[in-house]
Amino acid sequence: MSYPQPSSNAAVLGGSDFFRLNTRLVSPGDIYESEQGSHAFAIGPDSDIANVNVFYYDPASPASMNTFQISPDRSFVGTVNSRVTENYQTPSPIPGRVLFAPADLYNPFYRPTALGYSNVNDSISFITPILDVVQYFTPLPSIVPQRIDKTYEIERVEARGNAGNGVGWIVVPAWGRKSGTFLFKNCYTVDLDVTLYGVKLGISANQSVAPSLAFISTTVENTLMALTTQIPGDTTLYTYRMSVSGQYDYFLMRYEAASILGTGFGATTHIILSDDAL
Amino acid sequence: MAMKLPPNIAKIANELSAKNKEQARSIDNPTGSTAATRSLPTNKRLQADAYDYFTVPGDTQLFYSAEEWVQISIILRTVGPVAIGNRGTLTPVQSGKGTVLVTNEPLTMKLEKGTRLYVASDAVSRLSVIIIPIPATSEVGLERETLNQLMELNANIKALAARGAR
Repeated sequence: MSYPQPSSNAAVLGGSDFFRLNTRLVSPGDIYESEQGSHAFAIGPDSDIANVNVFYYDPASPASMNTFQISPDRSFVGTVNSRVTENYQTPSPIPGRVLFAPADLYNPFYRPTALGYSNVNDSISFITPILDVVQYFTPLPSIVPQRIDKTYEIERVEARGNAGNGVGWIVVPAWGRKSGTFLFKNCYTVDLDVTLYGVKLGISANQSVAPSLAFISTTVENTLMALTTQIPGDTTLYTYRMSVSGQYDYFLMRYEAASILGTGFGATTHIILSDDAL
Repeated sequence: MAMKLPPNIAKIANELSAKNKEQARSIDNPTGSTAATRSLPTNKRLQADAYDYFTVPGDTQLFYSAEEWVQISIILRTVGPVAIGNRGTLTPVQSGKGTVLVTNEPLTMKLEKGTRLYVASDAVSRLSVIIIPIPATSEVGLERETLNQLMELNANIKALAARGAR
């Protein structure tokens, strides 16, 4: 999340007919605000988060707060006012601004311990998810909030982990993606083992701890592409289809090489993710 | 190649252009900084005005005070909500004490001299404002007199041109 938050008022003063909240997520509890109302809400083109909750002032609702959800398949067209001079009827009154919060679960502290992740030896890297929401200031008949096909070029993989005898992991946002291709190439001079998982996060039923990230637990880690040993120069293509493999929150890639690799460059991965079902 | 006017016609044309405000402006550079434009007789009280106004959320504020009869058009360019009315207290914005503007739909009113408009909003909003003065009858008469003089000059030019052609 960028500080200060992008200001919707600045968009109005600048003469824009829309406000775009385009920011990186920091925690699953991130809530963003807008002091501007809107004639339509939609997921922005760059968003990794697929489902976003929108909260707004509605005196007819409990706590004067009403909500709806938007996604790449469902925008919201209708006038929603931001009521900064009114307060939500919450225990600690807050102004009736429009609020945004990701509806998808995000856990930056996720570790694939069930898959043998070692806190000591392994390395794990995250593609930080982007939250992109657009507010339109002029009336629109309808919106098709198509997200772009996200492309990731991963050129550096710590296939021996932190300590030189571990495993490298990379986590890529997968929320709402319905198809994609993963192209793995081994440019090392030694064999490289590659595995691809789909990870679905869930809310923990553990009530014995205070509300925290402990409530977000991993419920599913499905193997999408079984361990594949690539000889030097080898290329492996995996095609992801939601209808075949299910839908996930993360794609998790595991890289392991049998010997010390030096700088870590050499294993490349090219990923394209799309909202179009194949 | 520009046509050279006979001296007498050029003189009349200059007189005509000096009387015609728009033509005088077009002769000078568009910055309006030439002596001819500066000396142009204008009635600032009758000048139209257009500007953008940004509301400040919170209490009711004075929006416009009509020093003359005017026609005012207000267009909400964003979402609002913004209320406009004659009362000094319009809040809560959607209470009905003022009329709530609709995005991109102009609200046009004729304001009597001395009328005050107030605004209240719940969000920073952009309003486009166009003010067109409504001249008094005596001022309309003056304009007619000027028009008559211009028509007379125009007839003179035509007559001279016809004489020159012979």
